[in-house]
Amino acid sequence: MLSRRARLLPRGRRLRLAVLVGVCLAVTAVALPRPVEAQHEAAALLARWVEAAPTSFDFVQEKHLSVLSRPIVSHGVITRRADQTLLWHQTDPIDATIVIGPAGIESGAGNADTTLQGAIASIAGAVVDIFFGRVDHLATLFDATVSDSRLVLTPKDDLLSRVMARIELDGASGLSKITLIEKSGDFTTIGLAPASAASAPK
Amino acid sequence: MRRLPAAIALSVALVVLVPAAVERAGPGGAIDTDLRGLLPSAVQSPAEIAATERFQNVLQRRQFVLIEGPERREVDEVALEVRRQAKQSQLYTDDLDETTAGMARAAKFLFPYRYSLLTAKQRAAISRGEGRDAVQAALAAIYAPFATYSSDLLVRDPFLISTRLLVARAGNAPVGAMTARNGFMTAKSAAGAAILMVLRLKDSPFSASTETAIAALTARIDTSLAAKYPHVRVSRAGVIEHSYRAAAAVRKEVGVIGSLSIAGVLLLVISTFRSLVPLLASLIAVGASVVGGISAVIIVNGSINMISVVAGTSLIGISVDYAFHYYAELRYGSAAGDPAAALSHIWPGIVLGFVTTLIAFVGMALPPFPALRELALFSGVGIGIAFLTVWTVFPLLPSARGDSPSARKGTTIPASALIGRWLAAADRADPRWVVCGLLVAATACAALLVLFLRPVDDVRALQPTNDDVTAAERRLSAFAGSPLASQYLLVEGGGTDQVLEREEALMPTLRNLAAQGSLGGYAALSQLVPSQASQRASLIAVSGLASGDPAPIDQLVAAVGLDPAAGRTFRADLKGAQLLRPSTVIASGLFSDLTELWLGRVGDHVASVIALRDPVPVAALKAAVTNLGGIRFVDPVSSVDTLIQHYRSFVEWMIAGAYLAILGLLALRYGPRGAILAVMPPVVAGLGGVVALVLTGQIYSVFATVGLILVLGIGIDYTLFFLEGPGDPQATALAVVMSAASTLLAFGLLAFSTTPAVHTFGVTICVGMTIAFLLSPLARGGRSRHDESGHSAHGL
Repeated sequence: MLSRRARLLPRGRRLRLAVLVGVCLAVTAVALPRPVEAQHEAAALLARWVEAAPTSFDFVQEKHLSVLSRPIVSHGVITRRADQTLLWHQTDPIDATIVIGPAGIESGAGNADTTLQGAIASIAGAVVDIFFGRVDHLATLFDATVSDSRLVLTPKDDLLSRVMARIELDGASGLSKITLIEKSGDFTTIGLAPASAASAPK
Repeated sequence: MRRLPAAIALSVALVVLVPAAVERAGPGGAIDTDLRGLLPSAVQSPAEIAATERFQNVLQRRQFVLIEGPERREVDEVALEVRRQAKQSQLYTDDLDETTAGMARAAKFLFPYRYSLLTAKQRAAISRGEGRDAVQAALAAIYAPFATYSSDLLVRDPFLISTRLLVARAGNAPVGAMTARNGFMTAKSAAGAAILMVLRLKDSPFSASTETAIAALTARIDTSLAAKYPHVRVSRAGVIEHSYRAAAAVRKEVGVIGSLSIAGVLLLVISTFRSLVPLLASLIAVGASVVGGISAVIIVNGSINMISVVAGTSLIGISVDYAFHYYAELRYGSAAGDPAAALSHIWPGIVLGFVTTLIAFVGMALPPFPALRELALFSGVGIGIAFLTVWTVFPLLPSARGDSPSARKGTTIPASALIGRWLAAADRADPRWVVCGLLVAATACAALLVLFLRPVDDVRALQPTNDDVTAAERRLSAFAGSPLASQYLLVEGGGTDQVLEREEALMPTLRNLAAQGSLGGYAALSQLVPSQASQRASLIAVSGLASGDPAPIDQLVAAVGLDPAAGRTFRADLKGAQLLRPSTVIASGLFSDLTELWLGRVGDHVASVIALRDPVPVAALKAAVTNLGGIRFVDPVSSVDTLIQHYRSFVEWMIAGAYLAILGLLALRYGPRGAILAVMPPVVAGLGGVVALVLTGQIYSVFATVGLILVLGIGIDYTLFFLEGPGDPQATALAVVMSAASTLLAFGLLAFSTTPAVHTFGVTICVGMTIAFLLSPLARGGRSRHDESGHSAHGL
């Protein structure tokens, strides 16, 4: 039933109002993110990045904590290995190497807050999935949305969402930046570039 | 009519007995399926009793669920569904979501004690280089890839000591061995992805209601998931998996064996007596004896074991014997048609049979062996009630059609020709040669057993196993490490701290053995809660980080770029640091796997358990604890095996003693030859039963000796009836044939049981009773002196 105000409108204006509402609803429906479509778009974007990805990346990691006056910065090389794992070699300021697989950190140093270990495993596993374009794996833990050249992963896992607000992935032709944004507001950026000949593993 | 009040009294006694048993059993039910409940308690000290109970409680209530599949998403979905249904069932404790959330809570609980709980290795690392190494280690931790610490944590714990606390303190326990993801413990599997869930049952896995509910839940989950996730495999292990399968198998066996046995006996009675009255009498005797026996056991013990119920079905074979003798005499004997005369004729045989059987059961109840006592109580009370039923109820029952002397004319004993040939063959034999033959046969059997008999006293060999569960256990071992061993170390001391110090003193040895691979692993509360001395040493070590100029904490704060206030927070937290005590951890409800190992005060001592994982280097551990006071290596299974061996040997001697006692008793009545002819058939039968076990490669165990007791009890009845039987031997023979047939129906079927303990019992009885039955008429050779002495029917 139309409202009293609407009934007071002349007939022509009522028709125009109805058309306007209809158009708005149609636009909204089209604009609303649809999970299946978003997943297809995410898959397409990831596939594009993976196709263009080199075997090794130089990385610069900046960890921004609210309690620190400056970010914690580290550098190194990430290598995609044939067994679908990542060799994460941090060269500066502390030399450390870890191997990350779909289930998390498989070997090497792992200094992490015990309360966050489960979440870290999920995040590390997600990073591996990103580098190898495994959307179906990511879909078990995250909802994906795509806009332009940005893929945003929002945790749907209960434990993970207590720690992590979202993961943002940026890149035009290839993946160039990963941003891990924590619930507390702290965030980490990992800048990526194809490895230089000097840094690539022999 | 003096029997009527007695019959009423017996009925009233039974009517009182049953509600008393139901009341005693309580709402949890009266049927127990834990075979270990029938085994003797091997422990002696109160601490060992407490440790064994606690230890079994910890082990028994865990259920492991391993979910494997090629697709991680499917494995996750199956795990979520298993957890949802488990939660809905309310069969498990409320910590189903505890895997990772529990770790977070545990870390939060330990955080205030972070500076007290360092391991010796961590203390040494902190103290090295006047704290410079600690600063470098902290920087390495802060800069480490994927070091996801929060701002808050960095301010409160700049050295990130708490982050490694759980892993460092867990030693080689499974904590940290797997990865937590999506609220589950996950790991790589040959199948692809895998999730391990450890569920804890609220109730004992041996409770009948738990077994039924778990069986239904498992079937429901598997059915709902099989179609949707055909490539995901769900394997389960734990005591409950063995328990509910074994219970289902035993219930099925009880149903089949019980039904066939009852049906066989009923058919036997109806076809022989062609009347429903003997059937009614048999049912009264059997029903009253079984109900009375079960009620008595429940009133005394609070419950009755399923195995006892299975073995107790054998009571049918004994208690119907009295009915057989009564109605054989009433219908076919010299007292046909006269209940009082019939009862009077068979009474001496029944009394002697009852007394000798009772001797066997009393002997069975002498050793403190629960299985034997339960069976002896069950059988003894059952036989007693059957005996009283014959005396009080049978003469009150209406005579069967055809029991009157007129109706009996022209009635012949069924299979009389066969029975006649059997008796004639026995009568033709010269009693002197029969005695010699029986002695030679017994000697030959004994010689064979001396040479080839290898008794098995390993309790594990007597329990049923399930191949599916064993395979699941193997897969779980590969995935989550070896299971907890049944052996453990018992630590005792005058106080809490002494026990913790004693545990700590043993830790280096355990670490070395585990590093060498000879020990699968270990767990103790001191891994989480060090002794007070150790905790104070840790606080002193950490205090070093707050002293000096510049102090290591100030160096770290500056290097990282933290607010200088973080240094003041560090010093304030250190100053207010507390020592952790076992009671605090226990009160928290966290770390239940470790706190359950703490027994607390037991008598004058405080005690705890160090749990071990397979393999266990027994000799090395025994040697290690020899030099350390207050620690003992405990092997309950081995102790039980030793006790079983002891009791098996005891029962064997007891049987020999019972035979000698019966021989002496019967010699007074029948003379030496008559006594030997009465006793030797069951002796040869018992030995023959064991020879059959040896020849067919079966296990000879303490349960076979229980069979030997019954061969003695029933076998001696047969010979006594032939010795005491009134004028018409065919009536006695008919009763013995029926008795043997019904006993074999009951016991012979037990030989088909899949439970090794019941199987070995059944085979012994089956072979033994067949021999006892076939040889029993030879006892008639001992009648001459007895008849000459003028003894015959006794008045009642």
